[in-house]
Amino acid sequence: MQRPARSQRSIPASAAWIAFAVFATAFIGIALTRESGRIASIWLANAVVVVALLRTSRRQWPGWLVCGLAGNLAANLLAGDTSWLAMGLALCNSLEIFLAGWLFRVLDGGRTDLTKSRSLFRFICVAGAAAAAAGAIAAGTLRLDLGTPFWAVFRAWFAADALGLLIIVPAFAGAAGEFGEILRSPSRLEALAIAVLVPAVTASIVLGSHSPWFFLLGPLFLWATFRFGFVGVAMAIFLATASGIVTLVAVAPHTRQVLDLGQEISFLQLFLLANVLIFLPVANLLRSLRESEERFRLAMEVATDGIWDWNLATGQVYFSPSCARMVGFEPGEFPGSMEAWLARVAPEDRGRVRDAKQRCADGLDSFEAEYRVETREGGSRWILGRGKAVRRDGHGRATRMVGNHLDFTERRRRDDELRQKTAEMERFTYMVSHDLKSPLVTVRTFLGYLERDLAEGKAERVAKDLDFMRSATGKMTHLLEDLLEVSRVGRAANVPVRVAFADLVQGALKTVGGAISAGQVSVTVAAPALTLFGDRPRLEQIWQNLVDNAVKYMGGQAAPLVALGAEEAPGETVFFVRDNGMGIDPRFQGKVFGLFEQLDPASEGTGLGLALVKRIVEQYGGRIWLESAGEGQGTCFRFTLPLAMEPHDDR
Amino acid sequence: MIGEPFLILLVEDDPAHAEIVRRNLEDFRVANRIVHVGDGQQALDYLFGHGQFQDRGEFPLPGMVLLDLRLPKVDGLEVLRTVKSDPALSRIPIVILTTSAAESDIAKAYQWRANSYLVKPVDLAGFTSLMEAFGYYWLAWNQYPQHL
Repeated sequence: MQRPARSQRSIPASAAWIAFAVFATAFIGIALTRESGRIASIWLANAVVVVALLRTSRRQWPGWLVCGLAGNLAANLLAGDTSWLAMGLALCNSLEIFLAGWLFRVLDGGRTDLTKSRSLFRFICVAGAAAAAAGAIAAGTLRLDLGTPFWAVFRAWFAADALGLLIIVPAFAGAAGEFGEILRSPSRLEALAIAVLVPAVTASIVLGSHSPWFFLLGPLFLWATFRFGFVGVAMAIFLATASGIVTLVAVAPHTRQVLDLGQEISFLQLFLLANVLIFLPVANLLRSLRESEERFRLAMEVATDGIWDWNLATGQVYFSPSCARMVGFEPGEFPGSMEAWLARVAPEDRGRVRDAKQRCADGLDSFEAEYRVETREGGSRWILGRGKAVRRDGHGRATRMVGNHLDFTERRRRDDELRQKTAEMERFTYMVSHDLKSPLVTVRTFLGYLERDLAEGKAERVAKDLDFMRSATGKMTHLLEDLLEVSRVGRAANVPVRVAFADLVQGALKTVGGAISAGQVSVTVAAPALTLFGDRPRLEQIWQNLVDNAVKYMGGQAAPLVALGAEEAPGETVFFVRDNGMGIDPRFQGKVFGLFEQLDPASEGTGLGLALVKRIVEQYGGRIWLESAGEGQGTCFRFTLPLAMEPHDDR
Repeated sequence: MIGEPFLILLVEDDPAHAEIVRRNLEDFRVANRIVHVGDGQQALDYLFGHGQFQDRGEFPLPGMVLLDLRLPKVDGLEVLRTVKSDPALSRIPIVILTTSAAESDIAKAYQWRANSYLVKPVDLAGFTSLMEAFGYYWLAWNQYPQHL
C-alpha cells in the first residue's frame, strides 16, 4: 500500500514520530497494568511499528525496528524496570514486530491490501502467531528469571498483543484514509454517538461486574461496522478496550470487590479479541459487497444498454437507469412492470414483442426482437431487445427472466442511409450505362446507313443520317459534362465564404445569360438583404440550373418571365424561382428531381440538372419542392438552405 | 393478315431509334403501319383511347406494341404492367425493345407478361438482322387471335 500522502513525510520525521508513538502507547499500556503484574493488558506499540513495516520497503525495516525498540526501552525504563528486564521485553517486542511483518510479507507476497479478505485472513493468522511466539519467549524468560507463572504471562501477552495488532493494523494499514472521511462525513454525529456509547457501556458493565452483559456491545460494534466499516469497528473495539481496562484497573477496585484482576482483564481481552475476529471479516465482506454493488451501479449509470430483471411470480421488474432514459424517463421514475414497458412499444410492434416474451416464458430458451418504442417526448427509437429465462418452475414456465435493451436507432438510421445510397448508386450506374449506350446505338447504326446511303447516292438521306449522329454525340457530351458536375457535389470543393444573396444570384444569371437573351426572357430579382455562407460556385449552381431549366421549358410563351427571390416563412427562409412557362403536370411532379428523369424527350437536357440542384440543397440541410397548377400554368420551385443561413465552420 | 394493314404501336423516346426501327420495318416491306409515340403517358393514352387519341377510327388499337423501357413521364415497365392488367388490352402482344440488358429489367418484363424481350444491337448489321428476324417471326409466322 503506497500512500503518496504519507511518503511526503521525511524519513527522520517518520522515525521520530514512530519512536514517540511507541513510547506513548507502551507507557500507557504499562501504566494501566501496574496492578496486574508485569504484562500490559493492551499493547498497541507493536502495531504502530508493524503498520510502518507494511507500508515501506524492506530496506527501511531496520530503521523502524530500531525506533520501536528505542521507544519501548524508554517507556520500560521510565516505568521502573531494571535495564536488563527493560531490554529483554523490548527485544521480545521487536521480535514480534519483525515476525509479524516478515511472515505477512512472505505469505501475502508484498501486494498487501488488508481490505481483501484473503489478506485479512492471513494477517489474523500472522498476528496470532507472532504474538504467541513473542509471548512464549517472554513468558519463558520471565519464568526463568523471576519465577512468574508461564501461562499467566503468556496469556496476558498474547491477548494484549494480538488485540493491539488486530485493532490497529488492518484499520490503519488498510483503510487509513477513511478515518478522515468519517470525521468529514455528514454522519459524524453518529460516529460520535458510537464513540460515546461504546466506552460508556463498557465502563458501566465493568463497574457493575456484570460481565455477562458484555453481549450488549455486539449491536454497537455491528452498528459501527455497518456505518463506518473497517476503521469504525476498529475504533469502537479500541475504545471498548481502553475504557474497559482503564475502568477495571483504575476505578473498579475502588468501587467494588475485585477478586482476580488478572482474570477479569483476561476475560475482557479475550471477549474483545473474539469481537475483532467477528467484525473485521464482516466489515471486510460489507466493503467488498459495497464495492461490487457500486461498480455495478456505476456501470449501469454509464452503460447505454438497458438491463432488466423480471420476476414473473410477483410481476416486479427492475429496470436499469438506461432502460428508463431510452424512453425519456428519469431513472426510478419508470414503473417497475413489464406492461409499462410494453405500453411504450409502438402499437404495431407490441403484439410481436409480447409474443416473443411469452414464447420465452413458456419454454423457449431466449428471445430477440427489434422494435420501435415511443419516448415520453413523442419521439421514436429502435430497440433491440434480448432476454433469457434464468429460472423456471416445475412446469417449465419461467419465473425469472433477465435481458437487455439496446438502442440502435443511430445504427439503423446509418444503415438506411447506406442502403439508400447504395440503391441510388446502383440506379445511377444503370442509368448511365443506358443513357450512354443509347446514343452509341444511334451513332453506330446511322454510320451503317451513312455508308449505304453514300454508296447508293441518296444525298437527302445522308444529311439526315449526319443529323441523327450529331445530335446523339451532342447528347453524350452534355451527359458527360453533367455527370462530372453531379460527382463533384458532395466532395469538398471550395472554401466556404460569406456572400450576399444579390451577388450570388447575379453570378448565377451571368452564366446562363446566353440562354436568357436567346429566349428573350425577362428576369426579375427581388433580393432581400440576405447573406449566405457556403461554397459560392456550388450555391450559384442552384439558381443557374433552375433558371436554365425555366428558360428551356418556356413552351412558346409569348412574354417569358422568370422571377427570383426569397421569402421569410416561420422559422426559415424560402427561396423561389418562378416562371410562366409550360408548367409540370401534377402527376409527374414527383419525378422531376430523379436522376436522368426527363419529362420531355425532345429537350436537349440530360435529366441531371434538377437532380443536381436537389443534391446541393440537401447538402445544405434543405429541401426543395415545386408548385405548378399543370401544363401551361408555369412552375415555381421553392427551396430552403438552412446550413447556408448562418456561419458554419464544420464544412 | 395478308392484305390488311397490321398496326404497330412504337413507344420510343429517342427519335433516332424510332427512325431506325421505321427504316428497318419499311425495308422489310410487310404491309404494316407504324404509329410512334414518344413517352409512356402517350402510349397509355393511345391504348386506352384517352385525350388526343379518343377517336378509335383514327387511332385503332394496334396489333402489337414495340415498347422501350426507359421512357419519360411513365416508365416502360409501368406501361407494360398497366396494359397487361387491363382485361380489354392484355391480349395485345407487347415486345420490349430496349438498350437495357439488365437482369432485373428482363425479369420484371416477364413478370408483367411481356411477350418477348429484345435488346437493341449496337450497329446497323445487328439491328437489321434483328428486325428481319422480328419481322418473320412476329409479322409473318406468328398467329394472332381474331379479336384482340
